[in-house]
Parts: sequence; C-alpha cells; structure tokens
Amino acid sequence: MESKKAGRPADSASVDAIIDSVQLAKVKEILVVLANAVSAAKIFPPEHKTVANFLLDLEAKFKEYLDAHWKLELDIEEQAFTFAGIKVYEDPHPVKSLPFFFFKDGMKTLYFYRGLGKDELTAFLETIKNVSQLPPDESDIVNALWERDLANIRYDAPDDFLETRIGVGKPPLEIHVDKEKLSSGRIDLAPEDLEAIRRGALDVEASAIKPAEGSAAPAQESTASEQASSDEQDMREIESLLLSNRRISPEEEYLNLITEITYLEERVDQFPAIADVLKQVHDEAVQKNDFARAASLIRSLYEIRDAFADADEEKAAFIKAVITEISQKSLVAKLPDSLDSSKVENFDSLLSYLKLIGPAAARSVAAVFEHSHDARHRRAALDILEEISRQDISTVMSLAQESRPGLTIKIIGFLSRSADKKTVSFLAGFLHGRNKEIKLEAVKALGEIDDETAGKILIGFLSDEDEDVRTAALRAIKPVQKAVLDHLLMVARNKAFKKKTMKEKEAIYDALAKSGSREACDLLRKSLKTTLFSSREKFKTAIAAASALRKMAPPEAEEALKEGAKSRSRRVREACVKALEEISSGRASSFHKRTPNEKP
Amino acid sequence: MKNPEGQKISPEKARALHHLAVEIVIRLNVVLKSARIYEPNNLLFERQISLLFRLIHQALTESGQAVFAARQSTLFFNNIRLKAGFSNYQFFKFILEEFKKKEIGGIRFEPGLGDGDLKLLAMVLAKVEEKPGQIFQKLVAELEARGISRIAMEKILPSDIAPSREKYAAKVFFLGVTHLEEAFEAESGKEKIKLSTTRRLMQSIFNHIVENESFVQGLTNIKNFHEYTLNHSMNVCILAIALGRRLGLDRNELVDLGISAFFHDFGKLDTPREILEKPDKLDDREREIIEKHPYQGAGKLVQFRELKNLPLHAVHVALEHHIKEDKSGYPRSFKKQSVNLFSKIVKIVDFFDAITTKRVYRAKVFTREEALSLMLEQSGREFHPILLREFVKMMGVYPVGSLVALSTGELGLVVENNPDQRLLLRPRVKLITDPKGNKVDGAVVDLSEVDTVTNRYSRTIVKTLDPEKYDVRVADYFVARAG
Repeated sequence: MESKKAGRPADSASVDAIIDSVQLAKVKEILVVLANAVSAAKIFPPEHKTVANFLLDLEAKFKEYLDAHWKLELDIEEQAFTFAGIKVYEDPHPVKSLPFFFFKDGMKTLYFYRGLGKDELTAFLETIKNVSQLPPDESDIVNALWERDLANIRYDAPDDFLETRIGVGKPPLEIHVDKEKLSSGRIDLAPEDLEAIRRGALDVEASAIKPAEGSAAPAQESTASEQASSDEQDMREIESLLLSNRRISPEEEYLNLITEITYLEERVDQFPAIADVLKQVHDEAVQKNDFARAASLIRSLYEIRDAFADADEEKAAFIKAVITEISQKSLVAKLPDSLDSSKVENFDSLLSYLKLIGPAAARSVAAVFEHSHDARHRRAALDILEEISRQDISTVMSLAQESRPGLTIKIIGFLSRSADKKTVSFLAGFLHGRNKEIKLEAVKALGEIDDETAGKILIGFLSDEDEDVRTAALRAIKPVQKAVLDHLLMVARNKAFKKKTMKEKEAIYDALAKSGSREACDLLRKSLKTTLFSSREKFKTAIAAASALRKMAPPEAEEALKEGAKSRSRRVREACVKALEEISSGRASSFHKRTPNEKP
Repeated sequence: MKNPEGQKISPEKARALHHLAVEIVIRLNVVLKSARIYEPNNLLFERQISLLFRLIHQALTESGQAVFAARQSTLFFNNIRLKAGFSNYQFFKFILEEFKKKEIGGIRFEPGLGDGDLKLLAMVLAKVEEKPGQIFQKLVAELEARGISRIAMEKILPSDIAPSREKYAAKVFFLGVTHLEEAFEAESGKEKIKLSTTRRLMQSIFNHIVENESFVQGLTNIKNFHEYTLNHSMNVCILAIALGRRLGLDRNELVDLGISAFFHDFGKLDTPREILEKPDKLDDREREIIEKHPYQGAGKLVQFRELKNLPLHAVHVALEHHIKEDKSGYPRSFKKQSVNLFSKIVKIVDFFDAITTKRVYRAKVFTREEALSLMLEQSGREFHPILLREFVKMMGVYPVGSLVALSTGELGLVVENNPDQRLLLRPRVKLITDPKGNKVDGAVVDLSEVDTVTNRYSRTIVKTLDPEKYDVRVADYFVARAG
C-alpha cells in the first residue's frame, strides 16, 4: 500500500520531491527490461524461454520498485517515457518505439501499482503484442487495455484524443446556450398549474412529512436487506437473462441473422451485397471445418428459395443462383487436404453438408470414403456419390481411377445399376487398365448390362493378359449376338486354345454353350472326340465339352453326348453318360443358376 | 487471480472473495453514514463497526490482505474489480463518491487491525472537512494523531479528480453525434466506418456514466439537435449503457451494448426523409417502407462484419428493436424464435427517448415521467417487464430533467436522483426560479435536506410540469453546466 501511512509523507508531491538517483536508475532498468520483453513477446510465443526470462526479470524489477514506492507513474511523450519530469526511456523509431505505441492512441500516463504480478504482466505484454499485430485502422492500445481492465496497470487517456479521430476538418458541433437568458425573465405558470401547486403545498404542510424515515442508520441497514430481498427474484431473472445472452454461439446467431435478413430483403439492388455476405459466411464456416453451420446455411437458403418460389420469382432465382455459386465455388475443393490433417471432427455434419453441395463436392465425398475408418461414414459417402451420379454421372466417373482401387470398385458397383448409357463407355475405359480387381469389377458390371456394346467390350477383355480377367469376361459374356458367338468360336478353334488352362477352356465352352447355337454344339461335339493317343489335356478338354453340352441341353447336345457315350475313352464316356443321366433325370442345373453373374 | 503469496486462486474462491467484498462495501456504507449521526459510543454504531470488523477480519484471514482501491471510478478489492449489481448500485456509488470527496485512492487494512481502529477511521472520515486538495493530507494527519497504524491510505490519482469532467462529458456527447453522422456518410459513400473509434467513444461514454451518471443522463434531454436520428441514437446509446450497467453487464458487454444502440437506426439511412418527417399519418405504403428500416440497417451492419470491432449484437439490435415482448411488431420473422437481450434493452430506451422528443408527426410529447407511466402500462406486452422495471428505477420517480414545482413555490429541474431507494421522491434539484417566478441561476438543492429548526424537509415536490408548456429548454441547463 501507499507509503502515506499515518506518520509518513502524506502527499505524492512530497514523495516525488525526494526522488533520488537510485530510484531513477531502477525506473530506467524497468523500462529497458519492459522494452526488451515487449520485443521478445512480439517475436516469440509466450512460452518461449526468452519471453519467460524477460518476464521473470520484469516481475522481479517491478516488485522491488513497487515494494519500495507503491506505484510507478510514467508520463508518455511521443518518443519517450518520463518519470517525475525526467526522461527515463527514449526511442525515436516510430515503428517499434514503445512510447510512441502508447502515445499514438492518446495515452498520457501509465501507472503500475504494487500488487502487479506475473499474470498481469503477461496479459499486458500479450495485449501489446495483439494490438501491434492489428491493421492500423483497428489497433488501439487504449481500447485493448480498457477491455483487459488490469487492476494494477492503469492509464490516463483523456477524451481530447477523440477529437483527433472524429469530426476532423469540420466545425465542432455544439449548442450555444445564452446563460444570461437562463437566469433572466420570468416563468408565469398557467392558472391550473398554479392552483395545483397551491393545493400540493397545502397537502405537504398538512401531512407534516417529517424526515424520520430517512435519517437513522439502522433504517438504512434494514432498507438494504429488505430491498435485496424484494429484488431477489428480479435479480435471479436478470442473471438468467444475462447468462443465456452470454451462452449464445456468435456463429450460430450470426447465421440466424443472415438468414432472417436474406428472407426479409426485397430490394434487388441489395441482392449482390447479401450474396457476398452469404458466401462469406459459408466460406468462413468451411474454413473452420464447421460443416454443420455451412449445411444449415444452405438448408435455410433452400427453404427461402421454396418460400419465394411462387411469390417472388426474382428473389427465388437469386437464392437459387447463390446456392449454385456457393456449391460450385465451395472451398470443399481444398477439403481433402484438411481431411488428411484430421481436422474434421464431425463427419456426420461434413457428409450432410457435402450431400447438399452435390456434384461439386464429389471429390470431397471420395476423400471422406478414403480417409474415414468408420464403415458407417464410408457407406454414407458411397450413398452420396451414388446420388451425385444421378445428377452428374461424369463427375463421379472421373473419380474412378486406378490409383484409388477401393473407391473405383465401389463406383463401378453402383454405376452398373444405373441405366445411363455413359456407363458402358466408362467401363470400357478399364479395358487397358492394370489393376486386376478393378477390371474384374468392370467385367462383372458389363455382364450385368443388357447392352450390345457391353458384350463387345467384354470381347475386348477376352484378350486380357490375365487369365482370371479373361475367364471372368467369359462367364459374364452373353453370346447371343452373332459377333460374340463368332469371336468365341474363333477363340475355341484357334491353335492358341490348346495352350489355355483348363479353367479358361471350360469357361470358353460354357460361354459357347450359353449361346445354344448349332455352331457351338458342333464345336463341342467335335471336342468330345479322342483317340488312344490323345493327350491327357485332350481328354480333359473333351470332359469339359461334355459338361458344357450338358448345360446346353438342346436335342443336338443330347445327341452329341450320346455319341460321346460311345467314346473309347472311359473318362469321356463316363462324363457323357453322367451328363445324359443328369439331363434325363432333370437334375441338370440351369446354366443360369450356376452363373450368378448373368441376368435370367 | 492470485493471493498475496503469489498462488493462483480458483474461480470459486475469487467469486467468494467478490461476494465478501460486496458485503464489506455495503457495511462500510452503513458505517460511514452512521458515523455522521451517532456518537462513537452509540450501541447501534458500535454494532455496525463490529459487523464491518468481522467481515474485514475474514478477508484478512482468508486472503492475507484487505485492500480497497478506487481507480477511474472503479472499485477494486484485493485486485479484483468489483462489479455493482442493480441491487447494490447505490452503495458503490456512495463509497466511490466518498473516496473522491476525501481524495482517497485506496485504503489498506492490515493484519492486527482492531475494531477500535475501524471506529476511529469512520469518525475521522465523517468529521474531516477541508478545502479540496488538502483533505487527504488532513485525513492522514488525523489518523496519525490518533495512532492508527493498521490502516494505510493512498491518495487519489490527479486524473480521477480532474475538474470539469462535465465539460468533457458534453464534448463526448457532441462527438458521438458527429461520429454517427460520419458513419452514416461513410456508409452512403461506402467508405470504411472507423469502428475502433466507435469503441473508444463508447468507453468514454461508459467512463462518464460511471463518474457522473446523472449529468450524462441529463444530456439526453438534448433533443432534435443537428438531426433527429443522430441525436436520438446518441441518447439511446447513453440510456442503454446506463441501464445495462444497472443490470450487471460487464464493461465489454456495455461497450457492445452501446455500439448496438448507437447503430440501432442505421437502416433509416435508406428511408426517404419525406416519410421520416411526414407530419400526417403515414399511409400503408409509407408505413411499409418505414418498417423496413430494421432489416435494412441489419443488412448494412452485416456488411461491416469483416471489421472485427462490430459486435454481433449490433446486428441483432438493428433487426429486432421494434419487436415487442409479445413477439408482435416488425419485421416479421422467418425462423427466429427469441429476441436478443440487447434488443430488449434498446427497445425500452428507444421508445422512451422517442416519445419524449417533439416530432412533427407526434401529436403529444410526453414528459419524462409521463413516458415512464405509459410504458409501465405496456409492460409485458411491449416491453420485458423486469427490464422495464429496472429502467423505471434507474430513471427515478422524477427522471433527471424533470421540471418540478416545489412546496416553496420555486421551480427546479431534477439533476440527480437520490440513490437511496427510500428517498426516490427527494432528488437533487437545480432551482431555476424563485418563489415569485423570476428566473434565477439557483443552487442545486438536495430535497432530502431537513430544516433543523422545524425538523421537516426544506422542500418537497408538489407537482411536475411540462417544460414545453413553459418554453423551458431543459437541455440548455445541462449544457450550460458543462461550461
């Protein structure tokens, strides 16, 4: 506390009068450390050792000084701090000068009081740092310190300063009052007022109001408690109002307000400004990964568009245009990067938002699918992509790339269900791909499409370097078309056929069998023929042909099997007999059932 | 927040300390008032001393120190800024005024303090009178003479006792009007509004309200100066900050509230002047146009949002200040269910200032007390009942600026309400005529003053009068006071 205890110098003037060189030196030391601490705080984060060291030093120096002198009062000049009229710190450089930093905002005096601790000094440095980082138009150290309201760091900044910022170059506004007139002349009251005053005065006289109620201290006390009690309920309600006011999420409220204003605005010339604000709100929300807010904005815009669809077509069109622009120019293009850094906390909100954005969000939806480890989110992302594909199939198709096989396989999967003609050419794109899994999925999808072109593309897959792909294509193919059948016959007759694996040969025969054609039947019949010198491979091929014929089941096939049943080869014979038995007993399974890839 | 040993204290402990400090303020209030009336050996007085001692002792035990400091009209206890609520506002006001009168910047109670020390302090504070500039010295000398060693005092800062603060308050008022005009001009020319200056202006208004609320309230009697909307917005801003302060808003909230009130009619920039000033009743089309100003203002403010200093509340207030408590009014809402607290506050003060201002289209101008009565009739429908009640309490039975006839036959203007809730009928009044009706530059009299001969109040209000009727320009008296 101040040194003006009873028995000590009572007046600050007398204290100031005895400032000695030691005290002055200490003030100078404090200011040097303060300036250094400010410089360090501007460069380094608060926890940095350099800042921490300066802070400790500053705290110690202040403590030492304030323990002895209670307060430190510094006058602020443009380039210097003065103490008791003596210049104690000077820095002429306006950009980094600490005195100028305070001076420019109209601060005249800075006070530091005993009790000043590390917390307040930290806050002080932080405030200086924050203000110095603001644009000149927004920075004001007086504003900032006022808001901080530090108990032991106070300042004096007279109102005069406002005159340097307000009404510059204009004559000041003022009311001229003729003081003379205020105290000269008369006020003659109207008779009715005079009468009322007379009666009032009489009442006062008669009631003999005495000040008894207003004098005693105990009465004051009881009034205080009575008042407190009677106001308690109001106070509780006011506190609850204040609390709920403080609980408001500014972002959410802002969004609500923007929505209201957008709904209310009728002036066409204001639409562009409103649109800018809406876009800004949206972009800010996305930048902060607050997708719930961004989604909420878009939903509200849809509601407003619908509300004005009939009543105000121009406004509805404006809102629609805003939605489109927001969607198309959405910052979601950058989203995959943020997803990589795991900044997204709420994938449900993100997915809701992306769904609203539509095709422009396709890349981001794909990113969610690829980055999320939650099966539910991955499923939801696929659903969104499928929905997007119904609006803009090309965008979704462009996402399917060999570099992202998992997603591509899923996209191929749901695109195969679409009736879009682009799908076939999209699938054709994988014909020369390298990823086997993708090609298998493409083949499967092509097999499910009842389209001539799909069949032709599958023929292309028959030349694939991978046997599994070729085999899958054979299983998927529907050799109802002449071109397909001819190709299969050509393959089966080709010398290279012999070199194929049994699995592929079986697939080729099965595919031929599916055609039910005479040519296929003839080829299979010929394949049944073996000699004693036939190779082991030839026997196997004949058995495969028997199996295929069984699946074929027309009369010609049965005949061929009967011929085969007379074969010299026991294994071929047995295979044909078994096939015939199956046919006759009706146990022969439908080819279609056995090949689940094919549509009935 | 730290204790004297430098250890951090929890928010709960800080709250408890604040509560204790407020209790000390209230008790100190009673003690100082009692000391003026009673002899030192009076039992009632001694009881109050004992209660105060117990509280200070508790603070010393719990915190190791008990230090009051008054800085820039703010009271601190052990480095905690004390916040006056609306129920204890009068006690804070009294203590701060006492400190200022006695040139005290702070009082420190030290361990070892006895109740005898407190009693002597109270007596010294009650009795010491001296010329300004010498009171503090005298006080310290008295304490020393009585051997009080456990109480130390700090002298008030020179800036806290700067003379003629009223002059600055009036200057700030006019600067406010100018600033708003510049903001309106900037908006029409699409220049940048200087919101950091607006914020600074609000802080000044707040500081002046804290220092001399009555005078600043008195300035709101300035009407139709320069341009109605500008003057009105400034008045609304002052009254909103004053009401917000009573309600317990913190200082940053008060600045936000002030800015919100300041810009509440920003949308009127787009309303044609011929409609704003039409003397006749507005037709449907004109009414429709004028009812657009809330959202048009909100729309404009939203466009300033990139300027970080504009509080979101300002947009709320611009949009909602014509929505009534029963949710009627305008504009119609799209989705919004609730009205912001600041909008409710501004609605009250906006209405009050509007109906007490003479306008070409307004058949009747209400006096300030008539306006309060009218508003109370609409409590719950038009206004939030509790907020309105607090506003009425703040304005008092005779709001500052009321023209009153006294039992002595003199006429006067109310310049300050009595902070004692029981004495609301006895404000301070500036006498403007003698009993015969001659205008005078009279004294400011306290209507709670008692004539020692008759033991009756010297003056009592017997009637309020309409200043318009007698061509009394209330604002002139306040402006004149500012020099």
